[in-house]
Amino acid sequence: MTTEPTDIALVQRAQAGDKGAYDLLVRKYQHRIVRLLSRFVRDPDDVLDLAQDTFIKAWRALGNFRGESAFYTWLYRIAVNTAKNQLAANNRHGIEYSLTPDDEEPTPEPEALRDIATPEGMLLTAELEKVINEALRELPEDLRTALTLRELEGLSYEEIATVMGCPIGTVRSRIFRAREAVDKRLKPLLD
Amino acid sequence: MTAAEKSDHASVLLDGELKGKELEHALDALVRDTSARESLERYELIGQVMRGEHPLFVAPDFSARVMAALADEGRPGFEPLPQGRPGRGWRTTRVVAQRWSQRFVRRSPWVAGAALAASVAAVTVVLMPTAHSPAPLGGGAAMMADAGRAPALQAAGEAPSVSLSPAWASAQASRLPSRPDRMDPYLMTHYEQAASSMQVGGMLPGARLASYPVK
Repeated sequence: MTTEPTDIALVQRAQAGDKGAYDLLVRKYQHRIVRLLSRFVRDPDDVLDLAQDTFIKAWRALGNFRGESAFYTWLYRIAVNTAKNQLAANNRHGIEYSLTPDDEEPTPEPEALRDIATPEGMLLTAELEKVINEALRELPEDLRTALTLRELEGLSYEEIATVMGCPIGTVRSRIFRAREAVDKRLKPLLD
Repeated sequence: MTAAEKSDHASVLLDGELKGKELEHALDALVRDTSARESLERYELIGQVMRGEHPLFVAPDFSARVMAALADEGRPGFEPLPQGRPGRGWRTTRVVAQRWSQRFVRRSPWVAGAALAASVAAVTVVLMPTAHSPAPLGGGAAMMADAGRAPALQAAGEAPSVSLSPAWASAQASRLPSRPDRMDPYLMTHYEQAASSMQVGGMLPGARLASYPVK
């Protein structure tokens, strides 16, 4: 069980006190952690508070991380346990939450997943997906293929180079140009 | 280094394609450049949308808020990780089972003795093949037990949901080809998607058969 080289390097820097490296880890995993926590808690503000708590607890315990599992796996455990503790605390104060009576895991209803976002947030998420998908469709074939092989098939640059019959440097450039083209459409939405 | 070069590095970093000095050099540039870090965040978002993960929108200042909260903190420490609490259902099930078994043993002690003997026999039968049977591996396929990889939803210290006997696991360790790093996100996403499709929160731990070429 190993974690990817970029994460290992970032964690090592963060362990030495480099907050820029930790910021990079936060940015990389924040969307996945928020999505995960939204399965436990419905209120969007609570989700973001829990996500923030997760990253703060992770920083304070980062010295314990030895790279025996993927960094996200480690972070995932912290997020889930933070959420469960919060839910248990809320329940002691008589607040309803979504734990099922016969399980220790929350069972999200499909619609409830959508409920956690504010109307503005939902609109923005939908718009974001639409813009990204449109931008992907408009990409030149070679750029789209390179990015698809990387993101959907998980192929390495070397494998993509073999599939596409081009040098590794070209693959790197195509993937970057594809991301840049999509990003050009995405960035104004997020600013 | 130009802004475009930094974004290029962010792209390659995200893909985990840099190693050694090149990796360190790229990280040096990135951790000091907010704009490049933002690029990496958006590239990650693009990947999540492409994979159909439906990422929830997180305000652009979220990471800034986290870092502001950590502003007064020194180097990371060794604080114990938060432990989840068992749910209500777990306690209920355990109490009911205890009451039932106590009542049963009181009324029919000889049946309880027979059940105990049967349990010992069953454990023996289950353990025998795991200690002596040959590996169920073949060709380029490798069975990867991911009990440890799939994050346990139980509190630490509780038994994992899937476990391998140490003898079997160590015997296989030498036979398994090294798994490419990119399998990790694949398996992680698979478990999350499986959980989503079954309307279960979090991630479903389990075993998955996957194959990949071994050089």
